[in-house]
Amino acid sequence: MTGVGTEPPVLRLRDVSVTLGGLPIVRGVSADIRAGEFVALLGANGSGKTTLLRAVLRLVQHQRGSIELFGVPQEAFRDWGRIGYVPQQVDPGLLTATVREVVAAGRLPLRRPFVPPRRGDRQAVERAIGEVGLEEKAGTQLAHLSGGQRRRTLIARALATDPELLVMDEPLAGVDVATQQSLADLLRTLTTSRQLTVLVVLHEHGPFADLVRRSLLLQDGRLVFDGDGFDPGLPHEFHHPPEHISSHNDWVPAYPSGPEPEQGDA
Amino acid sequence: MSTILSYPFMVRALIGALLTGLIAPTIGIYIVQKRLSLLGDGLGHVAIAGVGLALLTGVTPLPVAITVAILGAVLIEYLRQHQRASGDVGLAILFYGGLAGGVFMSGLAGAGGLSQYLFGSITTISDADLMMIVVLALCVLVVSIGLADRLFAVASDEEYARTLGLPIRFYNYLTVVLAAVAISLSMRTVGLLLVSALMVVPIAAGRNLVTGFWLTMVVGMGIGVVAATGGVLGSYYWNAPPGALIVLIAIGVFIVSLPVGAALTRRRRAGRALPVAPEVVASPHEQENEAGHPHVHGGPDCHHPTVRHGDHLDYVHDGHRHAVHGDHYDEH
Repeated sequence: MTGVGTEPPVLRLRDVSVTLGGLPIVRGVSADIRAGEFVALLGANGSGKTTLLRAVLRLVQHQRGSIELFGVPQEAFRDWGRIGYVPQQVDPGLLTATVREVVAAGRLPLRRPFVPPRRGDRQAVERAIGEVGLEEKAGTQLAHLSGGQRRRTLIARALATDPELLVMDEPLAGVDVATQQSLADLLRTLTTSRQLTVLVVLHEHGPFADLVRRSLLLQDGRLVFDGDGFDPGLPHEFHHPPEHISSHNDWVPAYPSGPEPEQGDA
Repeated sequence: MSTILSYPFMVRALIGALLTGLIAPTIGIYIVQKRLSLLGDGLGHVAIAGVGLALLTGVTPLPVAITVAILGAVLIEYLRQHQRASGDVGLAILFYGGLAGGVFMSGLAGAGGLSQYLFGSITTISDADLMMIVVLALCVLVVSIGLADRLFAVASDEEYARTLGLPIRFYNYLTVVLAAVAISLSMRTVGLLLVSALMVVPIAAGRNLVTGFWLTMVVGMGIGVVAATGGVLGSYYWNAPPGALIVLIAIGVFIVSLPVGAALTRRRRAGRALPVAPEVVASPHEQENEAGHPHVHGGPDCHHPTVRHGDHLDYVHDGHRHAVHGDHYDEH
């Protein structure tokens, strides 16, 4: 809130808590994310990072606290086109659709019902497909694409909306090292060619290390670290001293020094 | 053909068949996409209760069947959205209750004509029926095609559609209500017991033949029209219930689509230049075994990076990925 002017944060979390099936998953998380930031949401399996992301997207309901998007309380927020969501995996329902059809869904918030896509919609779809390098696959159905290409399709779908905030759920999970690197290169290009604020759930920075400007670390649903330079993927001796440790949690560096084999989050 | 068209009942039957063949697959694609292929079957059963009620009370069956089917559809969607533990059993009771109730009520009415509604009947479409079929079928077509992008987004990836701010619940209800109307309109042509096949089978055949949502929908509509009008014409010559013939034609097209679709896929694959760099072919392998490899992938001397690919590991090798399959390597 200092020196950024009157522009409201892209995302403001105030004491957000989420309970799923009677279990507290996210406990009192507060943070502001400002325009242009590249923020990694880190934590072990079950730490609540994916649940927090889903709460931001209104896919799960938070029980306590408030979420503001672009200065508007989530309950009153209607401009969902300003947010591009990249899920972790392709929904099996999409496998029979072509890349172009899947990406076109990203334009829906900007289109009226019963009105065919306009030229601008078509151009935005083709541009997004081009940005992720899938021009030659635009007419191919997703079932015939590799894991990396499917993930690029999901990124293109999010870009077709012309979002200001890009929200990604574990984009590196389940793809090989070469694909991880190429996805990181893609994001590097995108963050310079488009004015994007990025919130990405990661297990570790990995190939995203030079992109991430700020890390939020969740442990047992609590925010235990908020600052730059922290990568739980590195051995502990490489860590900078945490700049901020939330007062109600005695943080111990118990986070494992590598990615865990299982995917998915509570 | 001209003799057939000189019978007004055949003209009405063919118009009804044409519209049924168009709308059933148009809704069917969303139902298939949601993996609710049996929903059409259940809604048909519920509509039978409406027909029984109409026969018992002596009113026109079509509007009653539509009303009862819509109520059933809303109830089914409510149960699905609220994911009651008893939901599955509840659906079964609703479906069987609809069928049993319809048969019982038409028995009480003493009217023997229920089977006309179960398997279709070309001679029974009245002018009033046809008018209602034309108007409602056009409404269904306009909504299901006009909102196709949204309905498809919700049917194929509901979670993502929710993050777009789309009213998911509304579109889910709309889909089942459209299905209920389409099913009820089809009762004179293909019949309430077989209509579900006309929603599902043309779409399944279309998926074998073409790629993508829109093309599948268009091809499915074409197959639906061919099956529905062909079935009605055939039932004129063979004096058989049209519903049975319509479904058999649709299944025949599906069976033909299997080898044809496989051949089309092979052609599409072959037509596309494979990006195989020449140096991959010429990469030096000192001691090649039968499969063209100096070692067996996965063996102790294999240092190629691995990639999990479905149920097996792919080995990254000279710029491509492949996996052992029997005595050779598959490219992935």
